[in-house]
Amino acid sequence: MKSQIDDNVLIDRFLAGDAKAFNVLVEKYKRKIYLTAYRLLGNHEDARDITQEVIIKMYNDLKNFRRESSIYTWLYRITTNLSLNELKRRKIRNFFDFDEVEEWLFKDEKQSPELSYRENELSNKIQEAINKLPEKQRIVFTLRYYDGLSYEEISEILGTSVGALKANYFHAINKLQKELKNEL
Amino acid sequence: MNCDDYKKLMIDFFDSGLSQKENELLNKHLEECNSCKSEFEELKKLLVALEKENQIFLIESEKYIQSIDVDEIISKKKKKWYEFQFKPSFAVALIVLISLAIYFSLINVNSLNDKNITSEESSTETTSTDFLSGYLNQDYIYENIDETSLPQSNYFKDVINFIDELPYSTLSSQDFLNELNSTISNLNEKEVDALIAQLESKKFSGE
Repeated sequence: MKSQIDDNVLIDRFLAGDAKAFNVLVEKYKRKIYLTAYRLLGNHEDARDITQEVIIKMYNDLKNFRRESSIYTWLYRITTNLSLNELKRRKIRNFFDFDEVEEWLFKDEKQSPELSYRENELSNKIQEAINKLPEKQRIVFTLRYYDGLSYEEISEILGTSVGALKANYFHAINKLQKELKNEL
Repeated sequence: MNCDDYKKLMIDFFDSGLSQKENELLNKHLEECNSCKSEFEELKKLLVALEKENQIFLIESEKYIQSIDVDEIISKKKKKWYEFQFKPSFAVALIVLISLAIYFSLINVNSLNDKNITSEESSTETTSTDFLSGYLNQDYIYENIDETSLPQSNYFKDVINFIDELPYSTLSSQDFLNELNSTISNLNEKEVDALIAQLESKKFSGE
């Protein structure tokens, strides 16, 4: 609750012309935005682009933010929507070049050389398995498992009932388990 | 309760915890059912691996997150119109345009008319040539798309019209993809799937 009050103060200050207040807000949430976008899209480049888009949208649209929900719920909603749009665009791109499907499934620069081969392999397999989840399950799994949001908060972001979200989470775990059975 | 119900309890156990009663039920079942017991162990392994991967991922991501500079993003956004107005190249282009406008206003009307006729002929020829080289035809697309299976929207029609405007040879170009991407961003998932399915069938039919 205190954090929400702080956020409202920062928003008021930004809307009154204090640019630093906007920076404080972004610094507070950019990590969450980035990590969520990465988990949904699977590579650093897209995650960075989406984070930038969210920041610009924040800058332009904060004046219209009604504060009926918390700002992080609002930001998660923007992040998931922009990420879903990116996934749609990929579908079209992949129609023209099927090899790209393989490309975005983690041929990225994401692992550092100091990690052991096995750690790198397992890390890649896990992200590949997450990428293979249907979109809705991937979003629910990301918001619940990685971001630790409550089902009620996710329900507010996605406009889906808590029961349906729990079912999505259950199926996501089952699929990950099957997909990674031989890797664990 | 069957084993599937207990699987749900296992996931709840790791997700948000169980009530005391549910906990007792699960423990009792795990003592009796080897299959569920091994399932429980597998689930535990998965969650440990996920947690480990997440720790690595968080460390790896930090440098990318730190490189996101809010001031840079906002200043780029603000600068756009300002830079455009005062770019030297823009000033040069403006001077060239003004010179051309003066030049054309000074040449005689007959010569302009001649130019227009030539231009019209050339335009007809180009269209004809482009058509022969394989324009995607809107009628063809509509004939080959089962419209009844689609929740029609203006955006969907926009996409079809957009494709119709382009020669087939440019369909796989990056510029085309970028434009198409921005156009389809408002289609719903079902429409995108339907569109892709129809385009795929077109691609494989040799069009």
